[in-house]
Amino acid sequence: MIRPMNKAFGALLALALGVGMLVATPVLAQSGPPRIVIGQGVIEPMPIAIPTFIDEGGAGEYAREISRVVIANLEGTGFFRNIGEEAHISRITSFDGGVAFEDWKAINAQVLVTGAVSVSGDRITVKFRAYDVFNGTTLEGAALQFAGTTQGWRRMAHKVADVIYSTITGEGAYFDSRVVFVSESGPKNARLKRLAVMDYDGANVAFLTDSNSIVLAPRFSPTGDRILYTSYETGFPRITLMDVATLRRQTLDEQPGTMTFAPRFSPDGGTVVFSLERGGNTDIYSLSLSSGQLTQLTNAPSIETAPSYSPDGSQIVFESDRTGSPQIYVMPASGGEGSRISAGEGRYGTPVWSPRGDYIAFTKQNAGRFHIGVMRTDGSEERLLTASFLDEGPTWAPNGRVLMFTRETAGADGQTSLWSVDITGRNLKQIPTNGPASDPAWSPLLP
Amino acid sequence: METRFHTGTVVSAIGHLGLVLWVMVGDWLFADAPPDEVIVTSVSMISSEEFAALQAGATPTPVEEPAPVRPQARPEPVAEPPPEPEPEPLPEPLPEPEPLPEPEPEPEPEPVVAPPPSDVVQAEEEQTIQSESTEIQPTPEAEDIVAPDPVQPETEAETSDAPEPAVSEDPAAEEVIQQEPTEATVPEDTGDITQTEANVEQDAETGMTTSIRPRTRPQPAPETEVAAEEPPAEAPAESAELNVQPVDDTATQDAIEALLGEAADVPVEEASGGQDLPQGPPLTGGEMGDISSAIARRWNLGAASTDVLSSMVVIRVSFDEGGRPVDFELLESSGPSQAAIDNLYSIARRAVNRTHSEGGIPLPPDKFDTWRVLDFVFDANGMRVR
Repeated sequence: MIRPMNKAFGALLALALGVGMLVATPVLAQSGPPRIVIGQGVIEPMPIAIPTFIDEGGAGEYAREISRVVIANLEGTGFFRNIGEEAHISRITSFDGGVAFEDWKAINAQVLVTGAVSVSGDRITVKFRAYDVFNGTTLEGAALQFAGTTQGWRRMAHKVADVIYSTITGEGAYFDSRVVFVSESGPKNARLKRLAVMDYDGANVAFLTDSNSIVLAPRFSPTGDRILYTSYETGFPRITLMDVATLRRQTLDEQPGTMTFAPRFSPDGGTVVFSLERGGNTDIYSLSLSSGQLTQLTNAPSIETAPSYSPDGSQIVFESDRTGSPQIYVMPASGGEGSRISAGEGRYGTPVWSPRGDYIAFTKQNAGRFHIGVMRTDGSEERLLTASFLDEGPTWAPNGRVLMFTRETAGADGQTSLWSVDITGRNLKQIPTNGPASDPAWSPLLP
Repeated sequence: METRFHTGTVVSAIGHLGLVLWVMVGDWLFADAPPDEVIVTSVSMISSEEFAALQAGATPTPVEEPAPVRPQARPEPVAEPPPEPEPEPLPEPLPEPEPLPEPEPEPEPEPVVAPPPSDVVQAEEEQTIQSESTEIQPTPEAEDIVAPDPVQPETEAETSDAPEPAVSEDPAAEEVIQQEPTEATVPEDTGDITQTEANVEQDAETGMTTSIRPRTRPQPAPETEVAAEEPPAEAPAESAELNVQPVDDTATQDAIEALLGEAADVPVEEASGGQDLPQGPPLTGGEMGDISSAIARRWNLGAASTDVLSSMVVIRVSFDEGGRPVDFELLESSGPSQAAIDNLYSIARRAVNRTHSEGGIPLPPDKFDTWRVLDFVFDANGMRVR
């Protein structure tokens, strides 16, 4: 006769099941030492100690200023937190002297940077060494020396910071670079605009044009020696090519009855892609700088503009309103219809391909707000990094991990300024400029 | 290795979940039998002659005559000679007058040994007892089986990678789990925490962990007595004290002992960094969790690239007796680039070194043989920056 199952019997079977599972588990488990999975770590700025570089002769204030720039660069990334010298237990008195790691561990410095500066005439030499305090070793590749003229002391500081940053984070460098932008002045309804160039951190501003005509959308060449921009010098927007060293300018493709704007260099610097308006229609064209050959890349009744090459030069991302609102499309560099990659609600524009080829940055307008965002080159993983009254015109840092853009505040007295953010949305900060600024374009890493 | 570890964890998790669901849902799927109706009535003994007389008489005996004693667990209907024997005692046999025409059928003495529960006792008055009451009698055999069988799952649980044994919900089993597992039971489970060369070989031979099912039903030995035993005892007799039969196969047991003896004779390998297989008692789930937490707090990825945040490394760390990491080895890795992997490896080493510097890694002093070499998994994939 079948006994009805009762709780006791059910418990017995459950017990047997559990025993069976536990017997089976060790079979599937690995052999060897215990394996411990380290759970969620922490994401916080790395404590770093950078004592003032040692003056090894004639350095004067250079040693202190170089140290300051290095600290500012690293802290400005949001990845590092400098431990002030007042907290240091040990003092670095000799560049080649030993390091008491225990003293630096005591203040929780994970990285120690020591350096020395010497000046002889107009020649300056900067050397540095970075240590992994808790591993008790020198960071591989982080012991270098730079030499140059004293005028280039800032670039040396940037390069020191670049090496430390790249070594620790694994990311590409970007401190030793420049930004060309539009410097603005005057009231909003009568704004004067000039081309200017500065270090990436806002220092060393130099003006490239006067304010006699409106200039827009400057772009560096891949080698950083030339700049493309749109000028209203003739009353109509015209693409202009400028040599940075000589400031000589040249207008490209002057065709009557047309307007040209939104230019960009190809990755090899030999071709310029831009928008050309003719007969009320705007399409994308490419112009060979060597032969002057003009090629139409799009042919649609809609507005096609803001082209940007992929790093390998095989594709072009651009903006088109063929569906009724501005969206982002990708086409072969030789031209074609293009396929849409933007999919969210709102309007998309000013697409820019990352130097690493993995992301496309863009401006998005939706629900009365402007955003700077990034998406994968197929349009996936769209991520909005900022939101404000007006954010637009992103430009990539040389390492493809930081963006700079224009932010404008609302109202009649609204001002434009430059801001930067990394692609994770962290470390949003304003770039100091002398007055309003807009339309930034990041140069490649300086040689 | 990563996959197998994960697979074992998944299988164990599924088994535990099934166990919980069984107990929770079992009541719904398999409804308990109706609770035994405990009816107490007075009983008096009659002789066989009297009983025969009762049977012989066609008319029912007077009510006041005591009903015959009926043995328990006897499913067949109570003495019904004349009428047809009831095919099934379940339905109420009341309609059949022959067996016991008196209004009260034979009283069913409930388990006499058990005192009636106070909330059911109505001992002062007799109650009619339906003849079907035989069907609701308890099944003592099952209960006997269930009660004292806990130690085996405890053994398994102790050596699993799961932090908590949590295998059996049997209270008796839990009690046993609280006790220190013996080394004799540990090797049988081929857990990766504690292994001896002998056990590894044994497992290879059998292809499966040795069965720990009891040869016989374990005796319900008092747990307190077991608790007094020396935890690290190795003899199989220890298992017997815990009501565990490590193996059914005596030959296998002999082989285990022989191998253990061989292992004891093997000279200890060089300490620092030379021993890959831990030989000491296993780290408990709590100890491993403490180690993980201590290192995780110093595992700083704030300065890591996005590629590093898509990488994973497994490093093997050798420690000296003072808990100082003396050697690092990269065992496994994955990531979008070698640079990212190298970076994460450096960060992982820094985390371990930093933990040692800042108060030390919480390594149990009495288990050096176990933690002299540890593998750490640093998987940065889950640490996405918003």
